[in-house]
Amino acid sequence: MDELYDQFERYLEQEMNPQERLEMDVLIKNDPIIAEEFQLYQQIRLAVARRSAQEKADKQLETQLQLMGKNYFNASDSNSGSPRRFSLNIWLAVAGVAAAVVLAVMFLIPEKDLYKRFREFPDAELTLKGSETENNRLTDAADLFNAGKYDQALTIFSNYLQNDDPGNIEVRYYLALCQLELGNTGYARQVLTNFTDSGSAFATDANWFLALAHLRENNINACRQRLTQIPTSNTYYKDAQKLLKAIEGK
Amino acid sequence: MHIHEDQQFIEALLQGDYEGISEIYRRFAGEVRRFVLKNSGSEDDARDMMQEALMIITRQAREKALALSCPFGAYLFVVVRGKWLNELRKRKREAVTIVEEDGYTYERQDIAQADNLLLHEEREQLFWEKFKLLGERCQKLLRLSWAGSHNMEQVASLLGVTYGYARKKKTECIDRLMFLIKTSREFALLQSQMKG
Repeated sequence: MDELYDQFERYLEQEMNPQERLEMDVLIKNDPIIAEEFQLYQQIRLAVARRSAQEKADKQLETQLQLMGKNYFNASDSNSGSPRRFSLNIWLAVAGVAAAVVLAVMFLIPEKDLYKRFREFPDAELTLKGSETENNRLTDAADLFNAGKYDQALTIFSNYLQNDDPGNIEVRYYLALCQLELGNTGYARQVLTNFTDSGSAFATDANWFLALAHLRENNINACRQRLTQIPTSNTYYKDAQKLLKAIEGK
Repeated sequence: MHIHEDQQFIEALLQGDYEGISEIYRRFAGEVRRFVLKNSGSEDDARDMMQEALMIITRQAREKALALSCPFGAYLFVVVRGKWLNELRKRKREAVTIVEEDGYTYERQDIAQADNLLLHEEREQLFWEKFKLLGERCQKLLRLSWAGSHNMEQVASLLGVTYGYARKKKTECIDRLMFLIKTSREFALLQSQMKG
């Protein structure tokens, strides 16, 4: 399939010779699976190009609407004032006790599903500044990380930090993400906490992954606290808001 | 086609006009709030729905030169309604019934049109979110490459790398993006909605 995307790209970029182009035309016309894949690829390409071109305008409008929304909607949930709840307050009190029991039980259940739902790692892209051997090793580790082979990536990252460059913050960061995914959350938290205090490029993102580490540990309060520290400008802000809603709804 | 006088609200969104957007909130925020609260939502949900619906309408207006033939409020509510229905489905993962008391009458085709618009929007949003997960270098390369204004030699030159490297990297970035999209649960859900 990977080779197919490369062919689609060359086709759309007019990089094919006439014979290749003709073959691709025939393939798209006669094979419904290829045709569907080609259509999806075009849609993705177009969506990314469009969003990319409009990103600045979207961000400006979003900020404007956020500010406006604060003026016209109350800051927090005002459901408690709705007539239905008011008239049912006795039942709600009873339901509240029951809900508290259910929540207490739910909070004891590991949040594995929620973690899996929200866990999405960025691509590892490492600055190559060492010898050719060191650089090759890092490239291999990044490829393994990006392919989801975290245990193998972890081994190379650990060796690299021990033997080559103990102060490499990029490697430390991706190593922490490997640890997080492999369930070594205590170690992951320790490293990620250093990032949040470091003022480095990873500082705000680290808060998101710290929240996920707390989620894996079923420490909902700590998770919530980290999520609220993620600013609107951060890539993970929307996910953080969704996760907040999900844990409040549990 | 007769263009409704409420087209001014579309123009306000496109221009980012403060007064016009204030007017939209002044006139329609209350009804959006009532609708969402009546349908198991909170004040925060209502604010989010209003904001997201306006973003969707603005994007549609930019892409397809949207010309309103009905009142803006009716159009806004069709979008809010569909968006909120999707949100409830995601939260509850079961059949959801909406209490319709917003004062507008919907044609079946309006609702179908809004559903299509929302499906299109959700797919684009998913593609964009997965794209944003790529590393910075991948994002830059694909942005430049797909903007339609540079060929690969120019992209390579702008990035300060060789043509061969840029070509290889681009293939890797595309494979990664497609992997992120196609292995996501949201994508599977959206595909089944499209086919259903």
